[in-house]
Amino acid sequence: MFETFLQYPFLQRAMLAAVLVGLICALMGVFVVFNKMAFFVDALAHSALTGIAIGILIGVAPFWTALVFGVLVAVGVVYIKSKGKIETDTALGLFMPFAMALGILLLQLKSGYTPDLMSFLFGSVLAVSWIDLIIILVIGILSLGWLYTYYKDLVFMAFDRESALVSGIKINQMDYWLMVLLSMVVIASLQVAGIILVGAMIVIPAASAKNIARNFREVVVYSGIIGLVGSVTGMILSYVFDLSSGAVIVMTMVGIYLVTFVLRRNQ
Amino acid sequence: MKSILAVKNLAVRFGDISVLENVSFEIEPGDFLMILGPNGAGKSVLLKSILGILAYEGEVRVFGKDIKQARSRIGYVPQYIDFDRTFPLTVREVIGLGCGQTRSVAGCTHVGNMVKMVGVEDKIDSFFGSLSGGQIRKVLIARALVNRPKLLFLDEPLAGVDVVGEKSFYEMLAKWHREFKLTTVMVSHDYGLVSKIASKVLCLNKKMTCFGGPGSLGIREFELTFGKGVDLHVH
Repeated sequence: MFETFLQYPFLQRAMLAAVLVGLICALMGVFVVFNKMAFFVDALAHSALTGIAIGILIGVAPFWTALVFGVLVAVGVVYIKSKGKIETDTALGLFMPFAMALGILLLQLKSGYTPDLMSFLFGSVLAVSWIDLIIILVIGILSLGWLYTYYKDLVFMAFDRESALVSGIKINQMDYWLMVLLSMVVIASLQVAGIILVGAMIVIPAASAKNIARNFREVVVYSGIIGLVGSVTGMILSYVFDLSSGAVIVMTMVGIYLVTFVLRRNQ
Repeated sequence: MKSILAVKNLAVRFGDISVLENVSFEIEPGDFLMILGPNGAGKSVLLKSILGILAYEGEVRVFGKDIKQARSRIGYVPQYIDFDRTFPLTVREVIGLGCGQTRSVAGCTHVGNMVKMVGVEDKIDSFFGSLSGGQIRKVLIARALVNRPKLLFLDEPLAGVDVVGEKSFYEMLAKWHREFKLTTVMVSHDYGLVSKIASKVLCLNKKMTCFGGPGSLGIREFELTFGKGVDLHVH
C-alpha cells in the first residue's frame, strides 16, 4: 500500500503538504489556544473566500489575493481590539458571515465560472504543486522562526498581559505580528484543510497537548507531535478509504483529543 | 538627591469621569512609599498610570526617563492576575518569565534561590494554577524580583495572604529594603502599616492627595482622608 502511496508524485506532494501544515498549524496553535484566539482563526479563514474571489475576478492567482486580504483582515482585527471601541467578539461575529457572503457573491460575478466551493471549504490536498509546497515551507520557516525567537515573551503575554507589558514586552507590536503570521499560516493551509477545517488543525493539537502536558514546553512538543501524527494518519486513512483528506485529518485529531481528554492531568 | 520617580500634575479620566486629578510627588533612591486610600480612591489607577498600563495626562519620569526606557529596572506585583487555572506553567516557569528571553538574563537571580526567599521551594515544579491565593502572591513577588529591579511596585500585595504569611512578608520586605536598597512603591488600604514600613506616604481620595514622611502625617489626618475626605497636601 505504501509503495503505491509513494510512487505517485501528487501523493508525495500531498503527504509533504499535510506534514508541513500539520506541524506549522499545531505549533502556531499553541499560542492561539492560550491567547483564546480560536474565533480569530475562524474569521481569518472565512475572510479567505473573499480574497480568493477577488483573485478569480481580477485574474490573479487566488492564493496571493487571499494572502493580502487575510493580512489586511489580521491588521484590522488587532486594530479594533486595541482601540476597544467595539466588542471583538461582536465585530468578528459580524465579519465572518459578511466575508463568506461577499466571497460567494463575488464568485458569482465571474461569468461562465462555476466555483468548486467544496474544495475551498474542505481543501484539495491532492492538487498541491511543488510551488505550493515551497510557499508553505517559506511561511512555516518565517512563522516558526518568529515563535522560536519570541517564545518566552509570547508565553508571558498569554499568561499575564499586564505584567508582560510592564516588563518591557511590546505587546501591541507582538499582537500585530502574531496575527499577520497566523493569517499567512491559515491561507497557506487552506489547500490541505479548507476554510471550514483549518481552524480545527490549529486548535485541536494544542488543546489535546494541554490535557496531558506537565509544563508549557511539553505543550509545544506534544502539540507538534499530535499535529504530525494526526496529519500523516489522516492522509493514509483518507487514501485507504477514499475519503476527503482534510475531513479525515480533522477526525483523526478529534480522536486524539478524546484520548488525551480521558488521560488529562488537570482534572 | 536625584529623584527615582517623579510624577507631575498627573490626571486620569475614563471617558467623562475624572478618576485622578493633579497628583504630584517625588521619591528618592531607597524610599519606601505607601499609597493609601479607601476602596475606589484611585490607588491602583495611579500605579497603573505610572507603569504605562493606563493612559494619563501629566508627566511621569522613572530614573529621569520615560517609563518605556526604564522597564528593565523595575519590578511589578499586580493586585491580581486573571489567568486560566489550567494554564500549564510551573512555578519555576512563572518566575523565569521575569527574566525575559529577548532581554538580558545576565542579571537574573537563580529561580531556586527566589523560591527559597519567598518560601515556596516545595512548590517549584507544581502547576502555578494549583497554588493557593497566598502562594500565588509569593510567586508573583518572586517573579517581580528575579530580575533584580531597582524599583519595585506592589499593588495590594497581601490580598489572600494569611496573618502568618503577612508577618513574614513584611519581614521579608523590610529585609530587602534594608539590604538591597530596593526603592519600593506599595499600594495598600492598611494605614496601620505606615509606621512599620514606610518612609513616605501618599494619601489618595480621588481629587485629594497628601504626601510626606510618616512622622509628619498623624493618624488623625489619615482618618480624615479616609472618612471625611479633608484636603491634605503636605510637602
